[in-house]
Amino acid sequence: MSHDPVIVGAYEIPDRVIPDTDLINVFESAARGAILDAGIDPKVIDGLFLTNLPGRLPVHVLAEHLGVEPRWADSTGLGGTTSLASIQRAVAAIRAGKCSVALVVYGSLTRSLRTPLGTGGAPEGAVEERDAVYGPTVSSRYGMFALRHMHEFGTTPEQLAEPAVAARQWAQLNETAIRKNLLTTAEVLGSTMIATPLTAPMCCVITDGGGAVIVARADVAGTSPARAVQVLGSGERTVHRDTVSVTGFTTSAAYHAAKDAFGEAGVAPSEMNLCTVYDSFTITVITALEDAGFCPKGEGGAFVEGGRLGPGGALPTNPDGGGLATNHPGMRGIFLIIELVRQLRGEAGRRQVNAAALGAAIGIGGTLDSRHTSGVLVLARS
Amino acid sequence: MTVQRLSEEWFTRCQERSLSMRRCDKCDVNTFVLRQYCSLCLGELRWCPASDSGEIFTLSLVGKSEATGAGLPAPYVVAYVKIDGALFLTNVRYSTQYPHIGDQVTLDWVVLEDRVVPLFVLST
Repeated sequence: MSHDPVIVGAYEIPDRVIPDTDLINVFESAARGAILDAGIDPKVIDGLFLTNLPGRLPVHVLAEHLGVEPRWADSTGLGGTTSLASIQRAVAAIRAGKCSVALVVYGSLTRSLRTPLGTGGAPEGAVEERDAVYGPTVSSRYGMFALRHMHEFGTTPEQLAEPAVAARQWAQLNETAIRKNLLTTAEVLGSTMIATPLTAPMCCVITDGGGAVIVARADVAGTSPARAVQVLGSGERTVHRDTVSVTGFTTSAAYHAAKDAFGEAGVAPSEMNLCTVYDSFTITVITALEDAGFCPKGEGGAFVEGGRLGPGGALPTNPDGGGLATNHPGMRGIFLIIELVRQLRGEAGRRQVNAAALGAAIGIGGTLDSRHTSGVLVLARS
Repeated sequence: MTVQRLSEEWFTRCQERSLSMRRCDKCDVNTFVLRQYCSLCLGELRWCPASDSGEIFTLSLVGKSEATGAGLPAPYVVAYVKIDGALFLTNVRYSTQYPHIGDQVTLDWVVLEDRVVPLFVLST
């Protein structure tokens, strides 16, 4: 029992713009916050799980800055879902006895460095030089996915607006949110068109930021058993679009990842008290929820109607305001975990969801229209 | 077993205004993924001429972008066109009539600075 890994620390840097700093310092701040939150001696950290673009920040440099000598060092690049995948790796490493205290950490200066993202072109040295000539921005890739979803399932523009309306409502309860003005469905639909059918409020913000989570053996010294959060199940899948793809264009990798995660946890999506779902765009939320089994495939649009995801809704989702209203430094998987941990600990303040005992974090990294990875975690209050 | 330089070959074929795809005859599969081997049987794929027309599978009108399409400033249309059973990421150029899913499109070529690039226009 004491070998079973639990989440003992979580920290989110509250700043959304971090000018005039180096990326490594963002990682340091995120890591320090999680270590202090966990109440552990930093010297006991023997697992280091870094989220970043490969080559951007070598894991050795981070180890040096943190003063740790990990038995298990991991630098994984699975886009926005990396941190959820890192939790799965950390849990497996701890269960195998290969490390005891794992730090999962992410940082980014996407906004300050003006890194091309939602409306930018392909980054320099992109794998697919052939595709880049056509200007497929990230938002247009999700736009193409959204239009196909509407075509196949009858998803409406109003339904596409719903997660954005809910995110603004949640943002009222989070002082670190940056898009705080409430919007009606009509206002979401009438906003600037970024890439059809996605308007600006349906696309996430672009910020700097960072965060960290510590997964450890339950018996590690200094931690509070009452604040520990259990990892009941995890799942991961990478898919791509090709003539040989099995599930079809409009089904995401979350379909497979959620099956594994809920299967291991032995619980059903319908039992979740809340969710955190990757909301790079509103279509990501609709697709991830239906693929994860919260409703039948194709009915995600109807599922999110009527304020279901908002404050007081039947499935409170992204109470921190998510990427749509609060933070998205490029790969926001770590924040899905951090907010779920805050909620399950009962430490979410004004936005605390009632009786939050069981929740799922559903990540999507990469682009839904083509190559992407989903990581899913099912977490529970101790 | 030689490692091929498929990306370079793709651009060379485009210079000759030939839209090509990769094909496995054994599995009867076409793909625009520039891979060497068939993902089903691991046999060698061969270059194969693609049809010069297809159907719009999905699209997005890019309203705001720091990028451009192939010789197209924003707003431009990014689309997946289904050609011989395979999806090809491209631009659909249009003038008065806006394209939709299911519309038939025809191959066209645009000459950029140092490259000839395939894109599509609505079939008449």
